[in-house]
Amino acid sequence: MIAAHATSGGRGRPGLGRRIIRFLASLKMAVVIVLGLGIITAWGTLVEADYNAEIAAKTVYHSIWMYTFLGLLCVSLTAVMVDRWPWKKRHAPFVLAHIGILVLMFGSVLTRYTGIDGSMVFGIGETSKFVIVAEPEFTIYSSIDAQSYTRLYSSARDFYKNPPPPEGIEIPISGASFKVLDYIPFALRDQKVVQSENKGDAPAVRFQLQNANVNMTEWILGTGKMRDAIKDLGPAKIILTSGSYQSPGGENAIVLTPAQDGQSLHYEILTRRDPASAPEVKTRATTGKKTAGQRKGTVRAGDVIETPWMGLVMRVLNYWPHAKEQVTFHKRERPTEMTSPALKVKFNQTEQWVALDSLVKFYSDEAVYVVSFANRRIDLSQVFKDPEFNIKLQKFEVGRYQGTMRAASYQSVVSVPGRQDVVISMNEPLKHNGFTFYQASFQEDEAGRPTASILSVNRDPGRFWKYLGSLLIVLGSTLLFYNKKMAGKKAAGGATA
Amino acid sequence: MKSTRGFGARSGQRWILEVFRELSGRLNTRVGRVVLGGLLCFSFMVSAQASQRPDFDALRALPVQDGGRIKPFDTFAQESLRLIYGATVYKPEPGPDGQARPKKSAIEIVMTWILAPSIWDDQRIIKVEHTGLKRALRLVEDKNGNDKIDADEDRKLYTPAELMSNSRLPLVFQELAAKREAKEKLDPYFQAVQTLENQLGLFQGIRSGQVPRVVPPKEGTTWRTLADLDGELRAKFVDLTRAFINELPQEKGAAEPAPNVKRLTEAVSEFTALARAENPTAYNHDRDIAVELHFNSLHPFRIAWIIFLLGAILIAFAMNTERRWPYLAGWACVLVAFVVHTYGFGLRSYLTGRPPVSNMYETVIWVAWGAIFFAMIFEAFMKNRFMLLSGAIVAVISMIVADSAPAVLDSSLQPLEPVLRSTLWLTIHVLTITISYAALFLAWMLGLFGLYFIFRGLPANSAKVREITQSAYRAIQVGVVLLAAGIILGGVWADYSWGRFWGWDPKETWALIALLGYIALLHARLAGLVREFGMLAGSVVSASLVIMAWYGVNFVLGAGLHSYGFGAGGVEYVSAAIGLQLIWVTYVAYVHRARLQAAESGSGPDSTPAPGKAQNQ
Repeated sequence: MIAAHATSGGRGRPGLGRRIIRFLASLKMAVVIVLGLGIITAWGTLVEADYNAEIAAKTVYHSIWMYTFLGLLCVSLTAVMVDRWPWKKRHAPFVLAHIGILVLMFGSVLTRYTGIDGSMVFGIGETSKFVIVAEPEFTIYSSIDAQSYTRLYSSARDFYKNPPPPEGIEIPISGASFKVLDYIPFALRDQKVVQSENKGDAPAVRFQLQNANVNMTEWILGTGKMRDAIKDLGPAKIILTSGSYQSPGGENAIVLTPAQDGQSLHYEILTRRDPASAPEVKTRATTGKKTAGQRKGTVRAGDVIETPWMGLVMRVLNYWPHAKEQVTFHKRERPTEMTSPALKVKFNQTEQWVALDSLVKFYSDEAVYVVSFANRRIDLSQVFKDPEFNIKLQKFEVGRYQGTMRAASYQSVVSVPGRQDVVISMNEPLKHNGFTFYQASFQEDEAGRPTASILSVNRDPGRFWKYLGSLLIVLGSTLLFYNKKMAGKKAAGGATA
Repeated sequence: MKSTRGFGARSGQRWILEVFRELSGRLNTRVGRVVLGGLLCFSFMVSAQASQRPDFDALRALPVQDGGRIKPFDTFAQESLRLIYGATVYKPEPGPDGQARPKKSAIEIVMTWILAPSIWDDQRIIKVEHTGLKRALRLVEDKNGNDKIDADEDRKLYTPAELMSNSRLPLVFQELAAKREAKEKLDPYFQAVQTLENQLGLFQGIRSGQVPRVVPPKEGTTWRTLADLDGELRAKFVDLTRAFINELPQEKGAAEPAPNVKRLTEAVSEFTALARAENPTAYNHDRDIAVELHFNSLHPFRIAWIIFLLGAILIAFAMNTERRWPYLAGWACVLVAFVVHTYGFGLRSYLTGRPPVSNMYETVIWVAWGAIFFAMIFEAFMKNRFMLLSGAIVAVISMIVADSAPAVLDSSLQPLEPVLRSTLWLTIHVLTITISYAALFLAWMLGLFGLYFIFRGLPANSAKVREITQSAYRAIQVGVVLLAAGIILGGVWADYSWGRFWGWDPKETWALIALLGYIALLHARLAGLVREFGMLAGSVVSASLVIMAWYGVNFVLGAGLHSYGFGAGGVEYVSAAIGLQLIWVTYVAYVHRARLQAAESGSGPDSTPAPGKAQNQ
């Protein structure tokens, strides 16, 4: 439009509008913009190598610098096309390529602001309807009866970009004083079992399991009077109970029950009723306090229990009648796969750390408060307006390369409303109601059995535009090359396109 | 010396001989004879290793299950020796009299690891190169000179006994385990620790009979190891080992018994017949194994680069003579080498069942192929001799690197990560991206030539410079179109596979940066910001971006989704090469600019400094 007004037919100075267009459309400008984009992007890859993709995206790829240069690129691309108006046939390649870039960028903007890109994790046999997106939310709930919770406060603040000031952030909730004191972007969670003075706390045992093939040291922490703590270690289960453990049978287990004296544990060895794998308990003479292959007995810290399972022995390393778990966070300079962001929250006089995807509880005289710091979940049944909607993981299959544990392929067999036995495999996603479900990865237990499937889930309204733009770019640049070749043959150097 | 050679080596050698005989008719000049003689010597050196080993052909073909596939024992032996010792042929230390002892093939070494492991305990067979690791293990003197086992900094080979009994080894491995537990990125030191762990693990596995797996199970897919064998299978394997021991060359002085190749062949076929009887359908790889043995012994890429080198020399020679035959002979060499190259590529595709472009080694071979392919087309249509010469040089450089750096560029056939198993997308995306690198490397070599002629002095060489610039420009255009298409195809593949068109993964991002670099160059030329010198310098400098995208992301940045091909090593050499070429570009720019200024301030066209003077600088 501006160009149409400013056309001055080649006499005298061109109009101001035309001159601005000329400046923006100049090839020098283009070279500067392209080099600028290249440098910023290269810087991003260095940040990515140093930290991770998320930090690189936050600090570089979605920074003001990147957006400025991308904006300039759009302006320049538009200006150069306006400048060449009216287009002739020879302009086709460059117009196509440049429109292609604009269309591609339009598609990307649509994806970024209206699309959903998340993941879904579910165990075999489980159902799910939630898509988790990488947008941490800080939420506080309260409850009076510990049954129903009401949401008091929620914030999607990006603490990496806007960390809390030294004095903390006051959370505006009436009747309670909450403060976010600190934020660590790369916190390493450290969990320790410590002895407790509180008589109400559960017991804890640290033990070592050992034979020719196995050597592991573990803690087992009781869960109070209501339930039994069970640690399934593959060859055997270790169970810490207050005395009420009911074995379902058919398991190899050592059941530990604290004795009244507060220093020793009663133990009982349960053996699977399978004559091949469970020979009778051997009775071996041992010295000192070692217990000799009995089915029942009493041990203290330092004692050894011999089991009938392939020479496996259990050594009790520590026993505390009252213990609790203490979670601390260590600040790391660089992220690893084990670090996660963590927030320090203060309620009245108590301070607690809450790591991403976890929650902590605070108690006041009247109410219990739950502080959650977790990635946002999108409820697909609400998105689809179908209260019945969920996906069930019926089966998960892993194909291995022969003679190894290396996965060659894996796939989820799921059912969605109206469709049974849908296979989602690598490169073969499921499309449903505008969403696409991709097989991303899986979780397995220590024995290498798959336990859960991880799907990548997205809705991408920009997809059509991105593909269209791509097509135009390839078409345009191919034509450009073709035209150049023609021009080259005619020795017509310096085409203005 | 017993001279029973393997089929492949013999045919490979005959191959070269025939090519040479054909050429020698025309190459009847002094220069030609010298070049020919040198190359002949070289090719004999290449195949010399083959001439010393007894005939283990039957044993070579024994199928084993290892690394997720069935491979011939020959491949297993070579891969194992390469990992543990760093080469596929073992060179014993000189005897007590200082005399060199004959080299031994991988199959001999690995068989003796199985049969008589204890004699290897005191042999220097395990390669440890990382100085930091050697220091951590106190294998070299530390600052205070304490705890030294060996003060020899340059020593790279250690005996299993001294490593296994090293008191610091468990600590070092524990550190590695802790790093893994914390899922931290491994730096070069820990990568070296990891390599050592793999080396010792494999060595122990072989000597205890846990690796490789040799007999298929009656049910299932995991084969049985040597240690698991029992009954007749075990007896037959013992037979086989006896026959093998009889085959071994005796140490000097002992009377040479008549080799009984037949006995070993029989023993192997008795064993394989028994193994086949266990599960005939699982023991059905005769054809693949024959092809793989042929591929192993032929070394098609080595033959190809030698002939490419010959072609490059001939074409370079042709530029300084009026005669036509050197040029035609050069073309013939390039064509022959191209056929061998393509044949090797085809064999590898057959063996992997996919286009072999899934790791660094394979893409290097493919880029060399692409560079020659483009160079031949351009040369044929544009009659510009620098095209074919540049293509041949790019191919020779890439393939020598691929051939000589096995620690960095792993040439073994590896199974694919699940996401890469979509052959269609892998093919289209990776082939397009890497073939664009080929065109851009062609431009890079042309740029180096062009800069050389600018350096020699412009008026005299300006016709050449113009021609080369035009060629480089053309190669860049092809490269840019293919690179743009390849990046977009990568986006399409990513979108199709995990629903994300663009994820700022360093590999794709650096391909984009390289593309931006070349786009800036093309636009700068359109704008008249750069002319011939700028174009040539630009094509050299931008090639560094391609090297970063191709090599640097894996070996320098070492992070991201494309980590399938990550390794370590060679960074210092590549950086030095890039640094040198940047210095060269800067220097030529300086000389060029000085001359232009002199020409402007001088009194006419004669004021350009003499080329001879420039050459002496």
